[in-house]
Amino acid sequence: MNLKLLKIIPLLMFFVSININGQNNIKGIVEYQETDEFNYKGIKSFYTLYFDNNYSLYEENLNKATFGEMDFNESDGTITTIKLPYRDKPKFNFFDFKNNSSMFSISPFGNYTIVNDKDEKISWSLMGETKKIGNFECQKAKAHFRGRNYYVWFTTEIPLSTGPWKLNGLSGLILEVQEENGLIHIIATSINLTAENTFIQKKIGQYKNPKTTISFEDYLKILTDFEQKYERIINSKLSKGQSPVTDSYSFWSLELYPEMN
Amino acid sequence: MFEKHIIIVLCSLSVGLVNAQTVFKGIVTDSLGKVMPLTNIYLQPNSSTVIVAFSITDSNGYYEFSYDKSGIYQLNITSLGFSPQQIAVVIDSLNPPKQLINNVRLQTQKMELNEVIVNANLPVVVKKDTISFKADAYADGTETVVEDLLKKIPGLEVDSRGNIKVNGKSIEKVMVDGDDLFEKGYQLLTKNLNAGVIDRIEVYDHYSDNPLLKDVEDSEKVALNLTLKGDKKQRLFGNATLGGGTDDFYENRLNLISFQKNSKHFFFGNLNNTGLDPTGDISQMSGNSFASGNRPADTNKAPEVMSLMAARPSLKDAYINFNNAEMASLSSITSLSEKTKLKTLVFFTADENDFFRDQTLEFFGPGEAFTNTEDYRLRKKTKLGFVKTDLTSNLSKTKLLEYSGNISFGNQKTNTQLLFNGSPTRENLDHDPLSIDQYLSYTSKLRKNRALVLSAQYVHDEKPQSYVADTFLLGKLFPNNTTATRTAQHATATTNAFATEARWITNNGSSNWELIAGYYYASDRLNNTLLLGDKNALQPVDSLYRNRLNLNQNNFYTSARYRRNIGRLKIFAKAEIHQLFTQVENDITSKQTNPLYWNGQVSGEYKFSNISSLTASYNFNTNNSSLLNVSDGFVLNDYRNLSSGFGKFEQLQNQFLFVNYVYGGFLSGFTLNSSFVYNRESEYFGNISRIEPEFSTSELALLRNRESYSYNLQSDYYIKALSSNLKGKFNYTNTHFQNFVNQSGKRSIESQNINFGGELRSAFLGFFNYHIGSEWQYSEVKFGGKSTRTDNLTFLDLYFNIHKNTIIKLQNDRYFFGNLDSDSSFYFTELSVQYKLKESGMSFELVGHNLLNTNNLRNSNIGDTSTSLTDFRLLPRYVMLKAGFRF
Repeated sequence: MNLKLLKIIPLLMFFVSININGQNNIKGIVEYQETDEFNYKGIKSFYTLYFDNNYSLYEENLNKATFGEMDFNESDGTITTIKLPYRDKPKFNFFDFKNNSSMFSISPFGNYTIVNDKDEKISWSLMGETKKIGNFECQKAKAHFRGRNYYVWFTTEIPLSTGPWKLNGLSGLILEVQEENGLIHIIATSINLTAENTFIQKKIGQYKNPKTTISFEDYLKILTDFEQKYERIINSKLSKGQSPVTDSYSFWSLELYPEMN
Repeated sequence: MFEKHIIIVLCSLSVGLVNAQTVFKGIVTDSLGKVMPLTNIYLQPNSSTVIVAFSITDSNGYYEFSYDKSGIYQLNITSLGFSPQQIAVVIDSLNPPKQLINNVRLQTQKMELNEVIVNANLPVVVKKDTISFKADAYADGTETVVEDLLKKIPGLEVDSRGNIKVNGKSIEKVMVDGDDLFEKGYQLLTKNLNAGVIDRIEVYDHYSDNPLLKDVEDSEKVALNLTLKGDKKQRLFGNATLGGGTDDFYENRLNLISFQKNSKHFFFGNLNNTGLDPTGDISQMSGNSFASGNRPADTNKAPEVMSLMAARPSLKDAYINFNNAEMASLSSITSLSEKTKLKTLVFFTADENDFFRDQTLEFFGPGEAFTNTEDYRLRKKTKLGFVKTDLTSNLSKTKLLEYSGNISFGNQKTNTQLLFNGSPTRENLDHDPLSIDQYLSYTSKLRKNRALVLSAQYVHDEKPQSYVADTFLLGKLFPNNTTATRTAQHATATTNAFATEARWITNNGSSNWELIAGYYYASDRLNNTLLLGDKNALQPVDSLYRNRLNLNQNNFYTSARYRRNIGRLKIFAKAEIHQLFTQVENDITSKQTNPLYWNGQVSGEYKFSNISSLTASYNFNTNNSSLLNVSDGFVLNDYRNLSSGFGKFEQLQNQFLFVNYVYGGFLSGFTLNSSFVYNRESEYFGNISRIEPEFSTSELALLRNRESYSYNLQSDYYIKALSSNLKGKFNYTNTHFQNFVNQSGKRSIESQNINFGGELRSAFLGFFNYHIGSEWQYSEVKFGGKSTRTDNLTFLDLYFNIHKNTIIKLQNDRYFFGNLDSDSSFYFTELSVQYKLKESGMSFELVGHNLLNTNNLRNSNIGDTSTSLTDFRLLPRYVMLKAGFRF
């Protein structure tokens, strides 16, 4: 116990020093637009990335979010109806660089929950391709992250090793993300590196010390229970003579967790 | 620290021997000498901007990375708010440096970058897709044909006849990779196509048959599309199942599917004697079942005057259908050019059905009471052919021309051997149906949301029937005929119809208009003669027992339909006005009636939420008399029953009210579906019956005020503690009508049915599951006196997933019939053990059918003049081994 405390004390001191040091250099706000092609038929959601030397916060902009039921007239004549459940708290991803820790939010059955993510360093491979996004010269990189392959475009012109969602660790800001099969696409829409620091600190401060969080293991358990609940409901409603479905009814998820199977 | 260095050295040595890697490392500090974490270090070749290696400083400002290709490089050290630094680096191919240490001090730099708009206007991408299910996610390996797979998709139901419903709504068609070959006869596909070739199941809601009417037509139709797995798009593939059992039972199936560059071909063959009807519903196929149902003359069909098939108890085909079915079908779809597609379907089926029934009927009046017994053995031999050709041509992007023609022909020979009150009788019925359907339509999309459809259709349907029975029980009707020993009839019902229609549709998003103007001509004929005599000669009898009837109708009509969405409320209204000119001709007279009449409908749907809605609908209908309703002379229905129509064309009105409340979707733990239906006919055709021990006759009479109503409730509740769903069902139906029996005067009849039941089905994730349930049916008929009946069906089904490859299903049913004095319970047990070798595509199934060898089922029927007990013979116990192959 004492030993643990001893370890924490210098760590805390270190934070303070870095904060003072970092206040004047690394900070900024980047707006992103996400297109979810799999779950929600190309519906856009909007996120803002706030960052400084120690933290980054990728937070959904609820003012621009789409809720409720929407009909899409498909070009083949069918109409697809999508139901987006209402959220009063934005989705987010939060990184603490010093502690190598991160958090994100989920809302199973409408219960807003903050999950302590598993520390998982993304192993990037650089690719030779370059292109311009806006006026930024970007280079392509590829990574396998939680069951799927992502191609990203990052720029060394903004020397920040951060990016949208859970993707970071390159030698420049990630401006665009494309999942290999087109499941998700994220692109930066504006970059502001001269934003008011007090505003950024206020935003980050809201997420620094969440009241209650759950562990990654508990999160996987919630997901498993969630899938099993629906598998059970579907199986229990089958008509007479129908064999139960043995493969699990699985919710589509961008991240795949091998721990679940 | 010492250890760390050693490790690095060891690493670089061991790697260097192989790859000659150069390790880059150092510490980054700011101008005050403080270490700088999160600083970017990256290596670029001098000739390019592409980064080849990179690193980020840790909390001590330390970086380290390695690179192994020779060349001239620039090492970049960058951090936001600091001036970047570049250091030239050379990696010599012959003598690469083992490590390059660069400690860097960065100078602060004032930020000059203001807010940058990277990408302001991005195109909106809407995915062209519908609700789509990945087949493999739902398949558990027990599926043989597509139907088995569809049963496992949430929200999809397949009934015992193979009809498919999506969330309670009947589907229109099942397509394969967007091509529709089977239309409403899709059971041919879903009952035969191998489930393993399906990649995805797509549900198209609000589906339009006509591609140009998409976005225009107000459609509530649902269609399915099956996409095939990529590796199945080879030239020829298919599957075969061979099944052989005890007592000569067999079940064989062959499916061949071929994909050429511009065409698709499907061949299905099926041979079985286990009760399976390979065509789905054969009676549906013999008529215009391949028509889509919304064409102007689709409803036109000649009536079937005689059918010797008796009512069957509600048992599965596998228990009661003694058959010997042979079926072969070949369908093709070919692209003649980029704009033109040709579809053909050729279909042939032969079946021999046997049916065994012993009945005791007690007639209790009005009139003299009597008891009849009838032991009845039927054999029906059916041969049916069907040929259909469709041609679709996209004249331009907004113009479409469609032709569809089909011919259906067949022969049905029905023989019965029966003992009526102990005296043997044989019946023979020969039936040669023929039907032709020709349809042409032209669609023009006037604007994005507006279209005009012109269509014309011709239908010919004839049902010639020839009947003879070697008995004569109609003596009381023909007192002068003392020599007859045979009763026979020649009957032909024919219809010829032509219709043409113009449809104008406009869609404004929240509202939709459809206007129709059309003309419809139908000429229906009924030609029947009762013949009496002996085996040497049959003589036609007098005009009371024959019809030479023509019913001609010319109908000019116009209709308007309107739908509007106001928030959560959807309102729908429809009105039709018809000017009808009818002519009824028989031997002697010709009568004309020229009524102007209308039909209307108003309905509304209010959505409280995504999972709860209330629907209400009111209909006012005017119904025109059918050919048999208009008939004046008697028609023989079998060897001792005759019926006749009203003798006159009439229009009868009914009013219909429907209210439905739905709560819950298929993923909800609690669901409720409650509906109420009320139907009132101010005038209707009732029966005047004469019921004698030897024979009965029935004539139509115009009566007033028939009404019926029913209430239906079904609810599911998932009990978490038991991991089981509790299902409750309740139905109440009440009907009031009148009739006349044996000069009784007008009798008032009230019939009531109450059904209720419950089921409990587990959803354990382990190897065992159960499904238990019971349902009671109570019927009551009041006619002055009262008859009642209480039946019950109770079942217990057990499922075992022994292994991923092995599934055992044991089904146990108990039928209880309350009106039987003794032996009122019948037990059935069915076992299936399936074993599947996933890799090789081989599968084996061991079926134990009717393991308790229950050879008969006795049930009772009640009516307002009689009660009856009926004994049905059932398919006996057999054990069958089926082997499936895929190629």
